[in-house]
Order: sequence, then C-alpha cells, then structure tokens
Amino acid sequence: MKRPGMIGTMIAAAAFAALAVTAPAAGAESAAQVSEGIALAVGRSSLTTDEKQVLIGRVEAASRAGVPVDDAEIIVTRGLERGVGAAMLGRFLETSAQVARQGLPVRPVLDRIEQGLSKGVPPERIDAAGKRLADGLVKAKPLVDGLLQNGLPPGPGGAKDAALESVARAGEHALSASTMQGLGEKVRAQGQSLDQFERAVRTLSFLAGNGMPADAAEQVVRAGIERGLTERDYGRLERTVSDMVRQGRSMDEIVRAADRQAREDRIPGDGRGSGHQDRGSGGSRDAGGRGGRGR
Amino acid sequence: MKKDITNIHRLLDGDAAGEKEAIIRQIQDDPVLRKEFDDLSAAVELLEQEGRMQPPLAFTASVMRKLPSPAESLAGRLKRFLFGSRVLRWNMAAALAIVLLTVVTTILMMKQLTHLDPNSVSPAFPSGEQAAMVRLTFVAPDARNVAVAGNFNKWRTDSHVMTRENGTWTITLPLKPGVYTYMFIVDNKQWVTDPHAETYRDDGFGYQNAVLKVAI
Repeated sequence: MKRPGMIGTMIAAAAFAALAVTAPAAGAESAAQVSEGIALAVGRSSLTTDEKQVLIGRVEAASRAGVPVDDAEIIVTRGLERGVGAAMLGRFLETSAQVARQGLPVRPVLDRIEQGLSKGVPPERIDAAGKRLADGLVKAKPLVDGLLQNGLPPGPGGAKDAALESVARAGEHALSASTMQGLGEKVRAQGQSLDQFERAVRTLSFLAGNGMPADAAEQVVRAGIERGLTERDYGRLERTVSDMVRQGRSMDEIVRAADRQAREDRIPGDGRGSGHQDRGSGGSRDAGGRGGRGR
Repeated sequence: MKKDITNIHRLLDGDAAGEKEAIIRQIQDDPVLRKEFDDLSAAVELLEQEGRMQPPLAFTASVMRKLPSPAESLAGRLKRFLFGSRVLRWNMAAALAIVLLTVVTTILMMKQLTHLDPNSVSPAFPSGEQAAMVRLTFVAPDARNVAVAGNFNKWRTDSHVMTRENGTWTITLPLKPGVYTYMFIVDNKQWVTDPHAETYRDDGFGYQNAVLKVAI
C-alpha cells in the first residue's frame, strides 16, 4: 500500500507545478495614459503649443477618470482630422470623464461623440448631444437605483448599464421620469426584471421617437409589459411601427396597430423572408436591403 | 474393510446415532480398526487444539494460479479482459492527485480553446466569447463603394468596406453577442440607414441607426 501513496504524492506535486504554470500572471501594468497615437496626432497638428499641452492634459485627466485610452485616441485623432479645435476636443473628453467619475456607463457618451465626429456632425451639436446624454445618465441613476431598491430584480449582468442608457435616451424624447418610474413598477408587479424594464423603455423611446404621443406610447408599452413581451416581440412591434411610418400611415392607425400587436399573446410573423434574419455561431445573419440615397 | 472405516468416520462425525453401540463393539473387536480409530481420534483432537487457521490474503489467488488453466478461446480471454471485474487499490493522496490533474487538464484545454484561430469555423475572441458570423447586405447598384460603420468598429468609415456582388453589397462580420448600431456609407459621403434592419435607434443627431442584436 506504500507504492500507490508515493505515486499519488508525485502526481500531486506534478499537478501543483502545472497549476502554478497555468495561473495568470498578476500585477499586469495599467495602460499608459496617453497613447503614442494621440501624442503623434497632437504633435503633428497645427495646434499651438499651449493648445497641445491643454489637450494632452485633458486626455490624461479623462484616462485617469476611466475613459479608455483607445477611445480618447479616436476622439482626438478623428477630431483633429476634421478640424475640430483643441478646446472642443477637451470638452468632449471632459464630458466623458465626468460620466466616468460618477461611476456611470461612459460607453454611450463615447459612442455618441465618436459617431458624431465620423458622420461629420458639427462639433457644437456633438458637444450638446454628448452633454444631453451625460445629463440623462446622471438623472437616470436615482430612478434605476430606486427601482432596484424597491425590489425590481437586477436581471443579468450589464442590465443596469443598459437600463441607465435607455432611461437617459428616453429623457431625450421628453418622456418623463414619472412615466418611466410607473413602467418600472409595472415591470416589478409583473414579476419581471431590470432587463425587461430596459427593453420596455427602449421601445417607449422608439415609439416616441417615431412621433407617437407619449401617453399613447406608454399605453402600448404597458400592454406589452402585461403580456410579457420578449426582446423579439418588442423588436417586431418596433418593426411594424417603423414600416407604417415609412408607408406614411396616420399616427392614429399606427397607435391602434401597435396597441393591438402589444396585446396579442404571441406576435405573429410579419411575413418577411428569413433570408435577411438568419444568424448563429459559425453561421450567418443576413441583414440589409435596397439602399436609399442618404442624407 | 472400506465399509468399516466409513463407519469410523461416521462415528467421529457424529452421524451414527442409531448404530453407535454396534460400531464401537466392532472397533473394539478388530485391532486394525481400533488402531485406525485411535489415529483418527488423535488427529481430530490435535486439530481441535490448534483452533481455526487464517489463510493468507493471496491464498485463493495463489491456489487458482496453480490450478491448470482451462483451455479458453481468444474471444473468451478478450471478454474476460474487457468485462472481468477488478479490484482497484487506492488511497486518498492518489485520489486527490487525480482530481487535481483533471482540474489542470481542464484549465489547459479551456486556455487552448480561447486561443483558437479567429478565422476558424467557429471564431472566438481573446476573451473566450464565441462570435456569430453576421452577413450584412445592401442593394445599391449605382454606388461606387459602400462601407459599414457602427459601434462594433467605433464608427470607422474605412475599416469595413463591403464587397459588390451584382449590385448588392455584402460584408460578413464576426460579432460577439450584444446589441450593435450601424449605418452604411455610400461613396464615402452618404450615410444611409439599413432599410431592412430589425429595428432602429435614433443616433442623437436626428438620424436613425439600424440596430442589430447578436445572440449565440
């Protein structure tokens, strides 16, 4: 009986050694505060020395606040390419940094700024849109926290950030905090969780963004919550509204159709071919269609 | 004579209840039988004094090994090799070591899986998340070039150029599970909303981005 014990000890020692080898290395260095790309872009720009110093300072401050360096690099390089001044770039970075400092999700703000720069939106409008979203996130926090404290289940990871963003975006469509508070309580009463609240708010924003009056949009979404609509169901509901808006149907018709669809137990297919909607791991999802000639 | 010796055995074994007296008389009358009886009685007495012996652990196996092996077919030997029950001797150290090796092997295999070639059939990102291959199509027969930009590429307009196939522009993107917004860029200047998107979300500047939800 000694032999197996010795062998076991030897195997155990080998296994511990292997485990030590596979353990992740600790103490990895944090990312640099100013990337080489930013330094190069700023260095080559036509900004004055003072402007360069101020801009680099803004980048460092944003990085310290938690803004990812690669996003700061995109904002700076893309902005300089489009002739955006150092002061405005500094404001973009400061808006992002303020969001990050408050522990709010900074990704939506960064996405909006990067998108605006890429689309060629005037810098002042980008600044205003970024600040509007940042303010919305700040206002959304007590609402979402309150719903969670009052017993709304938190749902899967990432649901809170998504809910903050959706509530902030809903605020941009003049949807009131009390409306969203009411929806949150409705979601909780239906035994649903924060991710379902987030999806309902997203649809509320979509409906309001497509011209539906706030009270009608709220009624449609409340019906959807009662019926326990899924992500897919909400998507189809939005699709119906989108198609009807494109067809130039009256808002009364759209409201009636949306309300009817939200009250159905299971939303039927919209008759579209599946060729545009396939997806999956290792497979493909087709999306797209006939192009218009854009703006 | 044989029958008489058998009677002695019956007497010593206590199996001769009714004939006991007759057998004793027979033994007393015959000196040969008496000697046989005395020898056997002495042997019984000796065995009773010794008590029960404990055979060694390997006694059965050693006896069986010494027995002539029966002629066995190849199929029979194979069946016995595959299905014959075995006794495994183990101790706690060996068991723990096996468990540890299993854990280490699993960790190594998972690490290997996360370093799959991103161009393989089922691509994985360095984080280990699996990607879905998403094919976007856009019909624009008059366009000279079409690209797609979205939050998946931080709205870069030059990194995801679509390929033309008979007036339809296509691109296949490996995307992690999540919600994506995107627009097409036609001829490097016109931003166009995908008319066949699942749904849309305003971009904060008065335009509609297409929304794509990827789930695996």
